[in-house]
Amino acid sequence: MANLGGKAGKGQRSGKKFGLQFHGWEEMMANLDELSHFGVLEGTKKALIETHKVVTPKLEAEIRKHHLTGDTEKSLVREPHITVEGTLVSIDIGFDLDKGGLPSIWLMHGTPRQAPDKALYQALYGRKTAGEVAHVQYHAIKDTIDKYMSRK
Amino acid sequence: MEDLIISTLSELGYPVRRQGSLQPEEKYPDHFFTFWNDNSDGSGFYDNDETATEWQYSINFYSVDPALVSNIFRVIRDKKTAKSLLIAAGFIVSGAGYDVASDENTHTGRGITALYRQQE
Repeated sequence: MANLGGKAGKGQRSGKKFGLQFHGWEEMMANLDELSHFGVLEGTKKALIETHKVVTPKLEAEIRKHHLTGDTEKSLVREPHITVEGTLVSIDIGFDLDKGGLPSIWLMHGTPRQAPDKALYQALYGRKTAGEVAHVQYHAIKDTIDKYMSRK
Repeated sequence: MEDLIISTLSELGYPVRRQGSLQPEEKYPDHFFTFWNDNSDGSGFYDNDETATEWQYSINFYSVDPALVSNIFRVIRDKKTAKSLLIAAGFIVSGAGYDVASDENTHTGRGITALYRQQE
Protein backbone atom coordinates (compact mmCIF):
# COMPACT_ATOMS: atom_id res chain seq x y z
CA MET A 1 0.00 0.00 0.00
CA ALA A 2 1.44 3.38 -0.91
CA ASN A 3 1.27 6.10 1.70
CA LEU A 4 0.53 9.28 -0.17
CA GLY A 5 -0.71 11.20 2.89
CA GLY A 6 2.55 13.03 3.57
CA LYS A 7 3.65 14.60 6.80
CA ALA A 8 2.30 17.92 8.01
CA GLY A 9 5.02 18.25 10.66
CA LYS A 10 5.61 16.68 14.00
CA GLY A 11 2.62 15.47 15.96
CA GLN A 12 -0.75 14.72 14.52
CA ARG A 13 -1.26 14.56 10.79
CA SER A 14 -4.18 15.51 8.65
CA GLY A 15 -4.57 13.15 5.77
CA LYS A 16 -5.46 9.68 4.78
CA LYS A 17 -3.57 6.60 3.73
CA PHE A 18 -4.27 5.70 0.15
CA GLY A 19 -3.70 2.37 -1.47
CA LEU A 20 -3.43 1.63 -5.16
CA GLN A 21 -7.07 1.60 -6.02
CA PHE A 22 -7.60 1.76 -9.79
CA HIS A 23 -9.16 -1.12 -11.66
CA GLY A 24 -6.65 -3.76 -12.75
CA TRP A 25 -3.76 -2.46 -10.63
CA GLU A 26 -2.79 -5.91 -9.47
CA GLU A 27 -2.44 -7.21 -13.01
CA MET A 28 -0.53 -4.10 -14.05
CA MET A 29 1.91 -4.39 -11.15
CA ALA A 30 2.42 -8.08 -11.96
CA ASN A 31 3.19 -7.10 -15.57
CA LEU A 32 5.63 -4.43 -14.40
CA ASP A 33 7.31 -6.98 -12.18
CA GLU A 34 7.65 -9.43 -15.07
CA LEU A 35 8.93 -6.64 -17.33
CA SER A 36 11.67 -5.76 -14.87
CA HIS A 37 12.59 -9.39 -14.23
CA PHE A 38 12.43 -10.79 -17.76
CA GLY A 39 11.56 -8.02 -20.18
CA VAL A 40 14.74 -6.00 -19.74
CA LEU A 41 16.91 -8.88 -20.89
CA GLU A 42 14.47 -9.90 -23.59
CA GLY A 43 14.25 -6.38 -24.99
CA THR A 44 18.00 -5.90 -24.90
CA LYS A 45 18.64 -9.16 -26.75
CA LYS A 46 16.05 -8.27 -29.35
CA ALA A 47 17.59 -4.81 -29.86
CA LEU A 48 21.06 -6.28 -30.39
CA ILE A 49 19.83 -8.92 -32.83
CA GLU A 50 17.99 -6.25 -34.83
CA THR A 51 21.22 -4.23 -34.89
CA HIS A 52 23.04 -7.22 -36.34
CA LYS A 53 20.35 -7.54 -39.03
CA VAL A 54 20.83 -3.90 -40.06
CA VAL A 55 24.62 -3.79 -40.17
CA THR A 56 25.61 -7.23 -41.50
CA PRO A 57 24.06 -6.98 -45.00
CA LYS A 58 25.74 -3.61 -45.49
CA LEU A 59 29.14 -5.08 -44.61
CA GLU A 60 28.48 -8.07 -46.80
CA ALA A 61 27.70 -5.89 -49.82
CA GLU A 62 30.83 -3.79 -49.38
CA ILE A 63 33.33 -6.54 -48.62
CA ARG A 64 32.25 -8.45 -51.71
CA LYS A 65 33.90 -5.75 -53.81
CA HIS A 66 37.28 -6.74 -52.36
CA HIS A 67 37.05 -10.42 -53.14
CA LEU A 68 40.44 -12.09 -53.71
CA THR A 69 40.78 -15.23 -51.62
CA GLY A 70 37.42 -14.71 -49.94
CA ASP A 71 38.93 -15.08 -46.46
CA THR A 72 37.83 -11.68 -45.16
CA GLU A 73 34.34 -12.19 -46.57
CA LYS A 74 34.13 -15.56 -44.82
CA SER A 75 35.15 -13.97 -41.50
CA LEU A 76 31.97 -11.86 -41.42
CA VAL A 77 29.86 -12.86 -38.43
CA ARG A 78 26.64 -13.79 -40.20
CA GLU A 79 24.74 -15.51 -37.41
CA PRO A 80 23.78 -13.28 -34.45
CA HIS A 81 25.05 -14.72 -31.19
CA ILE A 82 24.21 -13.08 -27.87
CA THR A 83 26.55 -13.35 -24.88
CA VAL A 84 25.29 -12.60 -21.38
CA GLU A 85 27.83 -12.05 -18.60
CA GLY A 86 26.12 -10.79 -15.47
CA THR A 87 24.51 -7.49 -16.45
CA LEU A 88 26.50 -7.18 -19.69
CA VAL A 89 24.74 -8.32 -22.84
CA SER A 90 26.78 -8.25 -26.04
CA ILE A 91 26.76 -9.34 -29.66
CA ASP A 92 29.62 -9.56 -32.16
CA ILE A 93 28.99 -7.64 -35.35
CA GLY A 94 31.46 -7.33 -38.20
CA PHE A 95 34.56 -9.30 -39.12
CA ASP A 96 36.13 -11.89 -36.83
CA LEU A 97 39.78 -10.88 -36.58
CA ASP A 98 40.74 -14.43 -35.53
CA LYS A 99 39.26 -15.86 -38.69
CA GLY A 100 40.80 -13.71 -41.41
CA GLY A 101 39.01 -10.46 -40.67
CA LEU A 102 42.07 -8.27 -40.09
CA PRO A 103 42.20 -6.94 -43.67
CA SER A 104 38.84 -5.26 -43.05
CA ILE A 105 40.60 -2.77 -40.76
CA TRP A 106 43.17 -2.03 -43.44
CA LEU A 107 40.48 -1.60 -46.05
CA MET A 108 38.60 0.88 -43.86
CA HIS A 109 41.64 3.03 -43.13
CA GLY A 110 43.58 2.48 -46.35
CA THR A 111 47.35 2.60 -46.80
CA PRO A 112 49.61 5.24 -48.35
CA ARG A 113 49.19 3.41 -51.68
CA GLN A 114 45.53 2.45 -51.33
CA ALA A 115 42.76 4.89 -50.64
CA PRO A 116 40.39 3.90 -47.81
CA ASP A 117 37.15 2.16 -48.67
CA LYS A 118 34.96 4.64 -46.89
CA ALA A 119 31.78 2.85 -47.97
CA LEU A 120 32.93 -0.08 -45.84
CA TYR A 121 33.75 2.31 -42.99
CA GLN A 122 30.36 4.06 -43.26
CA ALA A 123 28.55 0.70 -43.31
CA LEU A 124 29.77 0.17 -39.76
CA TYR A 125 30.40 3.66 -38.33
CA GLY A 126 28.43 5.99 -40.58
CA ARG A 127 25.67 8.34 -39.50
CA LYS A 128 23.07 6.63 -41.72
CA THR A 129 23.83 3.27 -40.13
CA ALA A 130 23.70 4.83 -36.66
CA GLY A 131 20.27 6.28 -37.44
CA GLU A 132 18.91 2.97 -38.70
CA VAL A 133 20.32 1.15 -35.66
CA ALA A 134 18.74 3.67 -33.27
CA HIS A 135 15.41 3.17 -35.00
CA VAL A 136 15.34 -0.62 -34.74
CA GLN A 137 16.65 -0.61 -31.17
CA TYR A 138 13.98 1.86 -30.06
CA HIS A 139 11.23 -0.29 -31.56
CA ALA A 140 12.66 -3.50 -30.11
CA ILE A 141 12.56 -2.05 -26.58
CA LYS A 142 9.18 -0.41 -27.09
CA ASP A 143 7.64 -3.60 -28.48
CA THR A 144 8.91 -5.51 -25.47
CA ILE A 145 7.40 -2.98 -23.06
CA ASP A 146 4.09 -3.12 -24.95
CA LYS A 147 4.16 -6.91 -24.92
CA TYR A 148 4.55 -7.16 -21.15
CA MET A 149 2.34 -4.25 -20.16
CA SER A 150 -0.60 -5.25 -22.33
CA ARG A 151 -0.95 -8.68 -20.80
CA LYS A 152 -4.21 -9.34 -18.95
CA MET B 1 40.66 22.64 -44.61
CA GLU B 2 43.33 20.53 -46.24
CA ASP B 3 45.62 23.54 -46.35
CA LEU B 4 45.26 23.84 -42.59
CA ILE B 5 46.06 20.16 -42.04
CA ILE B 6 49.08 20.29 -44.34
CA SER B 7 50.46 23.51 -42.85
CA THR B 8 49.91 22.25 -39.28
CA LEU B 9 51.51 18.86 -39.74
CA SER B 10 54.34 20.26 -41.88
CA GLU B 11 55.65 22.02 -38.78
CA LEU B 12 57.16 18.69 -37.78
CA GLY B 13 59.17 18.61 -40.99
CA TYR B 14 57.68 15.47 -42.53
CA PRO B 15 55.89 15.23 -45.88
CA VAL B 16 52.08 15.29 -45.81
CA ARG B 17 50.18 13.35 -48.48
CA ARG B 18 46.63 12.26 -49.17
CA GLN B 19 45.99 8.64 -48.14
CA GLY B 20 46.29 6.38 -51.20
CA SER B 21 48.17 8.93 -53.31
CA LEU B 22 51.57 7.22 -53.32
CA GLN B 23 52.18 5.48 -56.62
CA PRO B 24 52.90 1.72 -56.60
CA GLU B 25 56.54 2.25 -57.54
CA GLU B 26 57.00 5.32 -55.33
CA LYS B 27 59.33 4.79 -52.41
CA TYR B 28 57.98 5.53 -48.93
CA PRO B 29 59.67 8.53 -47.27
CA ASP B 30 61.26 7.50 -43.97
CA HIS B 31 58.62 9.46 -41.99
CA PHE B 32 55.46 10.97 -43.40
CA PHE B 33 51.82 11.83 -42.75
CA THR B 34 48.74 11.03 -44.77
CA PHE B 35 45.20 12.30 -44.33
CA TRP B 36 41.70 11.48 -45.56
CA ASN B 37 38.47 13.45 -45.22
CA ASP B 38 35.96 10.98 -43.77
CA ASN B 39 33.04 13.35 -43.52
CA SER B 40 31.82 16.92 -43.49
CA ASP B 41 28.44 17.41 -41.80
CA GLY B 42 26.40 20.54 -41.37
CA SER B 43 26.80 21.46 -37.72
CA GLY B 44 24.94 24.74 -37.14
CA PHE B 45 21.69 25.97 -38.60
CA TYR B 46 19.90 29.28 -38.52
CA ASP B 47 17.02 30.57 -40.57
CA ASN B 48 17.09 27.45 -42.77
CA ASP B 49 20.77 28.02 -43.53
CA GLU B 50 23.84 26.05 -42.58
CA THR B 51 26.11 28.16 -40.40
CA ALA B 52 28.87 25.70 -39.54
CA THR B 53 30.52 22.56 -40.90
CA GLU B 54 32.00 19.75 -38.85
CA TRP B 55 34.94 18.20 -40.68
CA GLN B 56 36.18 14.74 -39.79
CA TYR B 57 39.63 13.64 -40.91
CA SER B 58 41.68 10.47 -40.47
CA ILE B 59 45.31 11.49 -39.93
CA ASN B 60 47.96 8.77 -40.29
CA PHE B 61 51.68 8.69 -39.62
CA TYR B 62 54.14 6.14 -41.01
CA SER B 63 57.78 5.79 -40.03
CA VAL B 64 60.81 3.49 -39.96
CA ASP B 65 61.07 4.45 -36.26
CA PRO B 66 58.46 2.58 -34.16
CA ALA B 67 59.09 4.84 -31.15
CA LEU B 68 58.25 7.89 -33.23
CA VAL B 69 55.06 6.24 -34.43
CA SER B 70 53.91 5.29 -30.94
CA ASN B 71 54.33 8.86 -29.59
CA ILE B 72 53.18 10.95 -32.55
CA PHE B 73 49.54 11.14 -31.43
CA ARG B 74 50.17 11.66 -27.76
CA VAL B 75 50.53 14.91 -25.85
CA ILE B 76 53.99 15.03 -24.30
CA ARG B 77 54.99 17.96 -22.09
CA ASP B 78 57.43 20.40 -23.71
CA LYS B 79 57.44 18.44 -26.95
CA LYS B 80 55.74 19.15 -30.25
CA THR B 81 53.69 16.18 -31.41
CA ALA B 82 51.13 15.92 -34.17
CA LYS B 83 48.35 15.78 -31.58
CA SER B 84 49.50 18.90 -29.74
CA LEU B 85 49.92 20.82 -33.00
CA LEU B 86 46.48 19.80 -34.27
CA ILE B 87 44.85 20.81 -30.99
CA ALA B 88 46.66 24.16 -31.05
CA ALA B 89 45.34 24.69 -34.59
CA GLY B 90 41.75 24.19 -33.38
CA PHE B 91 41.16 20.51 -34.05
CA ILE B 92 39.41 18.23 -31.59
CA VAL B 93 41.63 15.18 -31.17
CA SER B 94 40.82 12.58 -28.58
CA GLY B 95 42.78 9.53 -27.42
CA ALA B 96 46.07 8.27 -28.76
CA GLY B 97 44.97 6.72 -32.06
CA TYR B 98 44.99 3.23 -33.51
CA ASP B 99 47.28 1.02 -35.60
CA VAL B 100 47.08 1.30 -39.38
CA ALA B 101 48.51 -1.01 -42.03
CA SER B 102 51.61 -0.19 -44.02
CA ASP B 103 52.32 -1.35 -47.57
CA GLU B 104 55.99 -1.65 -46.66
CA ASN B 105 57.34 -3.89 -43.91
CA THR B 106 60.01 -1.29 -43.16
CA HIS B 107 57.36 1.07 -41.74
CA THR B 108 54.76 0.94 -39.00
CA GLY B 109 51.79 3.29 -38.89
CA ARG B 110 49.33 4.88 -36.53
CA GLY B 111 46.16 6.85 -37.20
CA ILE B 112 43.85 9.18 -35.32
CA THR B 113 40.56 10.98 -35.94
CA ALA B 114 40.62 14.78 -35.95
CA LEU B 115 37.48 16.94 -35.95
CA TYR B 116 37.22 20.61 -36.85
CA ARG B 117 34.19 22.86 -36.49
CA GLN B 118 34.35 25.54 -39.15
CA GLN B 119 32.03 28.49 -38.70
CA GLU B 120 30.77 29.90 -42.02
